[in-house]
Amino acid sequence: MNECPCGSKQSLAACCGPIIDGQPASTPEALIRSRYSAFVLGKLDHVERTHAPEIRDDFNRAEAERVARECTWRSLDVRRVEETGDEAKIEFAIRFRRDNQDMIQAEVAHFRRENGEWLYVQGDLNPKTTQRNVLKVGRNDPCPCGSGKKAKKCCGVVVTE
Amino acid sequence: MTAREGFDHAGRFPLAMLWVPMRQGNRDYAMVQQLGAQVQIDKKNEMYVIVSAVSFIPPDMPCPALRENGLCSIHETKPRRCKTMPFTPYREERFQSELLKPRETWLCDISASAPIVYQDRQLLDRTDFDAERAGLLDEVPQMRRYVEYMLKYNPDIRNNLVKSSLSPKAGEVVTSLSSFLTATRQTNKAQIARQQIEVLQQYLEHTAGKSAYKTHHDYYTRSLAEMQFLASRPD
Repeated sequence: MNECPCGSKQSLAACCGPIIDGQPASTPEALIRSRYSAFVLGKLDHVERTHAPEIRDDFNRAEAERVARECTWRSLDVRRVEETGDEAKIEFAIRFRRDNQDMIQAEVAHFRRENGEWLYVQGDLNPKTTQRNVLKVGRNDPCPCGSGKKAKKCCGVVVTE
Repeated sequence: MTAREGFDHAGRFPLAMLWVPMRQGNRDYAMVQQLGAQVQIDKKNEMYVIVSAVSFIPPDMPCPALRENGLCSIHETKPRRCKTMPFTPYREERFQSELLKPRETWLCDISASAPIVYQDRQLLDRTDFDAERAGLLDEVPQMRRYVEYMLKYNPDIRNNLVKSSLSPKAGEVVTSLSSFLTATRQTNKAQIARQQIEVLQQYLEHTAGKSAYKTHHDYYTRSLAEMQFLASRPD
């Protein structure tokens, strides 16, 4: 199986693949995941196409193409999704390696739904977010993703490289 | 130099954008306010930054337009910056005298019999000086748009500018030609990119394997990749 780069553990064809190929993303999270996957796969037409019209011409595609190739993309971590009507806010972090350095970049991205399609409007890099109380999920607790498995057997699985 | 001049010489110079920040209290602040863009440091403090196009080559390397006989090969069409140096458009005319103190690297006539260019706090021939200022003033709205664009999409630049404004040793802030072409909606990107590719390839060779040239070499590498993309895409 060709696993989707976004980390969903699904196949690319069942996850970001069709969205990158032009199908509208059903949720803002699906859009941010597919945009990340598009960077990993170097398919930046999708990134450019899903920018809101007011920032589309601001996109430095040449730079994005270079960066997409220069970086080794490690992972996407979607931390929080707030959807209200036709607007949404997603907090996420990406990990990548560049110039022999491991980097992590956090962003709060804003989205808008136009004619049924979610678009990326704006991103605040490395934002100062309000502190949150995080519930610790024990290894043997049910996985918060709702799979019904224990966390240690599901999303909480520890991968040692 | 102005962006216009940079583009005119895109087949000659490896182009980049140079940011020079200046803080309140500097004698040239008033002039820089006219030609630069305001950047907020924090709630109370601001600085001004001059952004111009530059031929981004290591300081100890000769200008690519320099002939072997020591003369400029493009004298008639060279950028105004070259014509008016050592005077600077970012300083009032009456304060320009100290810029005339000869520097070690100057090869021109600095003897007592050299022609007089500045007297009684005035330039004797202000044609080029005025023309350079006019050219820069013309581009102020465009440069301000560019500064706004960079602050929006590359917010880290603010910290780099603050560092650089506090200590000249912190280094220059240099940004990419591609970002300027994008931010200012240049319509002839592909053509400029094609001209830059050749220049950048030459400078990659000139700076290969020398650690002193690493900053420049890395810039050429990045810019070449970006220009190759722009050249492949119709405007």
